[in-house]
Amino acid sequence: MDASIDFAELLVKTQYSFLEGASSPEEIVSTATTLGYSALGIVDNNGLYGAARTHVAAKKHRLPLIIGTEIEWKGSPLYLFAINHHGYGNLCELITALHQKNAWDLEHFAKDLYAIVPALPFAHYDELHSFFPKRLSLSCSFSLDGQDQERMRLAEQIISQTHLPCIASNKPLYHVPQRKILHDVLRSIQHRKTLNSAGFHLLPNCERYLKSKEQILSLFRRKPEWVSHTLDIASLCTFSLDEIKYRYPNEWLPEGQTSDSYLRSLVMKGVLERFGTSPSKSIISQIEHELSLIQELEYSDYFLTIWDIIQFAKSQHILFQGRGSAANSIVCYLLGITAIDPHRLGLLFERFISRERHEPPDIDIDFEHERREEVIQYIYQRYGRDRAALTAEVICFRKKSALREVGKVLEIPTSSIDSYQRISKRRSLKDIPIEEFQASAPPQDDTFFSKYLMLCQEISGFPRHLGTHVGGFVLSQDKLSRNIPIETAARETRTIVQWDKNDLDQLNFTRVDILGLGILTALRKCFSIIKEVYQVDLDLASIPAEDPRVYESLCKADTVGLFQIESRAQMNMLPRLKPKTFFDLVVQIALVRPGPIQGEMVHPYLKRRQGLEKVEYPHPDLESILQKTYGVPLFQEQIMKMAMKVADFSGGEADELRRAMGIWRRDGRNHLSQMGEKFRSGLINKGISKEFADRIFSQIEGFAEYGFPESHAASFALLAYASAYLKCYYPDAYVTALLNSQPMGFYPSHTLLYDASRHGVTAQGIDINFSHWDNQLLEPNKVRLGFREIKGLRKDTALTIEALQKERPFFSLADFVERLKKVLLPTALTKRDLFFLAAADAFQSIHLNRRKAFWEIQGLYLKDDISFQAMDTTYLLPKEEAWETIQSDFNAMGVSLGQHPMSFLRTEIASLRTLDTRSLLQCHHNQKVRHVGMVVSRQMPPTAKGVLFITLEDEWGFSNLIIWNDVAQKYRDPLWTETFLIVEGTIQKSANAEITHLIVDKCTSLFPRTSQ
Amino acid sequence: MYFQNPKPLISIAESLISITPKVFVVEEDIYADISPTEKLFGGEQRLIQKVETLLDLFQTHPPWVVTEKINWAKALCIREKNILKPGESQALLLSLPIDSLVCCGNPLLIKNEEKARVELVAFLKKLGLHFCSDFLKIPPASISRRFGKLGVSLLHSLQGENEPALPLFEPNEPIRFSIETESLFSLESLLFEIERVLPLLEARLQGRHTLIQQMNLSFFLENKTQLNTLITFSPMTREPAVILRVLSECLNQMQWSSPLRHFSVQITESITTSASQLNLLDNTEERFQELGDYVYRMRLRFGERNVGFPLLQSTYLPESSWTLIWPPQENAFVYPPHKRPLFLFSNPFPFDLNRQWSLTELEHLNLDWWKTSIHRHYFLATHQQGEKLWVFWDLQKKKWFCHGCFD
Repeated sequence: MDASIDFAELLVKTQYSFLEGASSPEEIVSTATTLGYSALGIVDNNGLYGAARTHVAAKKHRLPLIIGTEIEWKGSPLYLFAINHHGYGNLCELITALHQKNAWDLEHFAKDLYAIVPALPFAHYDELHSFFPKRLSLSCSFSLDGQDQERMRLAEQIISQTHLPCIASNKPLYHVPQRKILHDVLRSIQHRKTLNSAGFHLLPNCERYLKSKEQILSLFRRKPEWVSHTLDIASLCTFSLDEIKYRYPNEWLPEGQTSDSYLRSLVMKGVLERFGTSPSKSIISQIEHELSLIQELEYSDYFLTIWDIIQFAKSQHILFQGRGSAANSIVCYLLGITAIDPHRLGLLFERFISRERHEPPDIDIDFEHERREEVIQYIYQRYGRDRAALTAEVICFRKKSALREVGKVLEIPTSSIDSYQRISKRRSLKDIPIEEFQASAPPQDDTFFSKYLMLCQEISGFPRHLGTHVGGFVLSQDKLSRNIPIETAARETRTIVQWDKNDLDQLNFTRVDILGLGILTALRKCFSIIKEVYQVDLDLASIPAEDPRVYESLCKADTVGLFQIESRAQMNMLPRLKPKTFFDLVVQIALVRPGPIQGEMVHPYLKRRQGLEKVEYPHPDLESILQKTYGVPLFQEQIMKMAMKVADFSGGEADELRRAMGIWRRDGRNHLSQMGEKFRSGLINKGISKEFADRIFSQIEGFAEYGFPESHAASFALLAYASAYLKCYYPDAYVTALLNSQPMGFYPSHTLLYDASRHGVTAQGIDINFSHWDNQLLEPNKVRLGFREIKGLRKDTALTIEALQKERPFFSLADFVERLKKVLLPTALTKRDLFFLAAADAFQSIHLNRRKAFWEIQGLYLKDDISFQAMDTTYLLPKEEAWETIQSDFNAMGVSLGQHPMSFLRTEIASLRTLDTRSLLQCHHNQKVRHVGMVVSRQMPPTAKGVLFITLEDEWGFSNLIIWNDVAQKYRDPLWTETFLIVEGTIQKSANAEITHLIVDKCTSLFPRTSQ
Repeated sequence: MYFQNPKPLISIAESLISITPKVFVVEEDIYADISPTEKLFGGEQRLIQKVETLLDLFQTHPPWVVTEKINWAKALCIREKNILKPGESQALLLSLPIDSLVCCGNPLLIKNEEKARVELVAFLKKLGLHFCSDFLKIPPASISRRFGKLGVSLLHSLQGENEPALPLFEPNEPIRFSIETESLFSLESLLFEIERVLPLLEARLQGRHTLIQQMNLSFFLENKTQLNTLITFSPMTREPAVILRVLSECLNQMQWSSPLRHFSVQITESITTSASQLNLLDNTEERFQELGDYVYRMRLRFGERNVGFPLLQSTYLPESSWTLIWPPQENAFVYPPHKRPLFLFSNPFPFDLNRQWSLTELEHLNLDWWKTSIHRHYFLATHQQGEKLWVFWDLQKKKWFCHGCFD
């Protein structure tokens, strides 16, 4: 044995061979480097899913990486490797063709690829040889599974027949033998077996790991040339992912224009529209600064692509708005991508693009969520499916799925798994004492149970399968499928690349995020309803600005259903902050975020705003930056400007600092980087106190994870103001539009309706003769519920009913069924649909109440035979009680037009001496009270340290409960599972008595028996 | 009489046969018709006492009910013990929530119809029907039209009609019991434990109408050895006192090389006290020509778990790689082409590997980490004289074992 021989392991699978590979690319690369491998080849199944991550890791360790994949060809595994850039293109195209499930020809893609095939009896060696002349090898592995000798014998026989070279490989599936356990679990999940029944789906031993060169040489001591041949292949396949040349599409430029000149002309057109003919010098200089940087970094095509997409949206009257850091750019504003003037708000362009960042800009555009698909299909149509595809999202095991799936393979009873999932809600598995699990569902064997928990932790974060990113598009000037393999997503109208957004960022691919936002749908629908009912033409631009009545309602926290400011925390803050201007709204949105909360900036800001604390600046240089927020830094841009002003950072460095903080936090490192130290010492050198510097620093950490940049908050504030205006002046139209845009927002439909009723809006029930698919505003303040509220009813059926209403009204169930039958295919009208309508009490106008309708339909449709029989009227069904009506309405639609559910409980709870929401407002500070209500929302924000916030509702309004950690733990079950709660506690009131909270000491369910 | 999910199901069912021959096991429940034997025990009360004694003997108290109709029994099993006088049952049933319809009617159909029954009950609730009596108020014709056969059958069940005929329970599992002796420190304490179990044995034998002819005692010692002793009873018996005396004599004579860890008793031969049992050794043997018939007889003779056709299993562990099945299956699992010997020892035994053996490594096994954890390296051990054995090195016990031999 010659120990000096080097070795390259070419047939490694990473965790991106989903549910098979049991080690991450980083683990594999790091181990391979430690073992002194000369090179590493990855061959994940049918794709290059793990190629980007492995490439990054290999680059870090300076380990030559060979990009390959394993496919099945004529019944045999076939490993293919990219020799050079052209070969890589062929490999991507081959994989793309493979996923299209059409016939494909291996020969067509074979150029510049190297092929390895296991040395097994196979009838197509000659054919492979002709496709891959001098680029074909056999492989043989030594797996200690009892078949090694037979495999060696076969390999020698095939070599003598085919004269092909052979390589040695251990075909590793994990980096260390201990991972066999995880591999077994993954395989069992893949094959939907338990470990006990998985049998031959598992491997017999743990030999498929990255073995040392010495081990490999020992196993293949009779064939050292097989070991050395791996190096021949490694030296031949020199392709690196760094060679990918990605270019943005630009073929639609007008003749004679370059991307830069065309962008400039569009921007100048925007200047005329937004600023008129004489824009200020500072605006011009900002535009020039941005354009020159865009030109330098070659991003013009990217901006033009976005501009093209929004032109389509405009032409189709689809509402959209750019969000995120793009609002820092005046170019985005002038192109119409964003609606915020960054110059007026003094926003910071470097937050969006910087020379130092080496990353493409990230423009996120929100479109109406119901019409986003139109935009997506436009992009496919415009660029073609070989040049445009969505970003993938690698779906990983999370705590809940890990507990469930690992539990299943270990045959843990489903009821126990449910208990474990319940108690681990909102907590990390590591933080839960094992005794707590054991108490919730005692396991049979403690050691076994520990293994279960250990595996759940280990598998968390492991890729499970490939999903589709919410809206990230990758576009390319050349064929994208020669750069990244493309496959069809679960939704067949979409195609996705095999890499996720992090992979794309790493390799400098630019993405366009086409996102869906429910409020845009609701706003557009609201504008249409207002036009129809009130004959008033409104749009986002024409909504009157700074309306005092709107701010008045905001100060009262009347914000149920409003964008961004409807949560419990926002509603609590509004009466304190008392917004009076648009900028106040921007602050309001940015303030109730973990960043400012963590940085303890909220209370100083409020005190200074209310004049209770003097406005001071840590340094005179900071006054211009912090003036608008009373000396308290609230926005990311302010932090960056401070770094630039007092610590002499460049714009890019300032952004780098913000990002670096986030990385420190995620990595859990406690030391500060050089940049952080530079910033802190910069502040201190300028005479700023250490305490202030530390506080700012802590805030940056929070910002990096959760904080809003001012630009983003301003974009959202625009929509928040628009929604507040509409709710204030047209509550009927607004609630109708919100209901027609569900699911969206924070509150369920019934809460929106009860809130609307408190604003004088009445609603009428669903009826087959009057309702449409959408909810309608019949006249001011009168809403007719639509078929869309009925759970389970198919839209086609509802639209057919809507169409038939126009001919003439339905006069009986027989008439209804017969007419529907004529329009729909006989099989399309099902008993289920009729039951859904009956459950929603939609047959009132033909004199069938809910129960009678059920009864008649059951007689009509036995065995789904659509034949009408005469009704039998001999049997009198029991009358529905009012309480039952509410319950049935909620079951069928999730809303009820009857009284509030709490009103039925008043007699029952009279003896409990509870206070309603009106009485709570009259209580004095520190008063002990008992209160009952229906749960509308539960929140436990990560920054709240285990404090639970619950909103209860009754006939007259909402009450806000605060449940401290110990009480939340003690009454965990009722608090998290019950609908009606009785709570006891102490009233807490703000100084001006405008905010009332109930601090809960005790909690029980109103119906303890029904909770089971 | 109905018992809901009693444990151990089969043993209790067997024992109940001594009270009434009409015992039926359906899914996990037992039904017993006590009407024919009521008088034998001096009336229903005495019979119920007998049943309670039996349940005490098994130290189990499943919910149970005495009612007039099989169709009502499961629905009426609403408390631990529900003894209903004649005429009370229907009134109680009709006052129950309508959900009880799910488990009302022919026990053989309840499980298969469960989904349809649940759906029907959910529908009835939507109509505002809350109790079983509400269902009876619907005109039969309407029930038939709307709810079809299931509705009609539930109606009949509620009305106490259409009582089903259930298949009689026939015990066929071998009778055995075992005692963990790790915490027992004297023969007296072992006999005390045996004495405690013997009434259960008697109850089962009574249920089967059999007497013990021969029993096998197995002793599992700490040093992993197992000793077996056959005891023949003459005359045949099922009397606990007699069995205890015989066992006591036998145990007194036993000497163990290592502490006793586990002790088990299996009735290997018994004789029926009724005339209907098949005598395996009679002259009807010539009738069995086919292999299947022969195996069938072997199964009866040696016990169902000991004779059958091999079915290869999907496992790498050699000792679990096949199992006995009956009847044979056509598409039995195809075993992968491992280089493994045809002859396996039922239990691998420690093996002294000396210099006369040469080794060739064959395979590694790392299995079952979630239960026992097996780590073995298998080798072909070839003796200088040509003998070839399949041996393994146990990585946990750090010992060599012989597991089989090659041709």
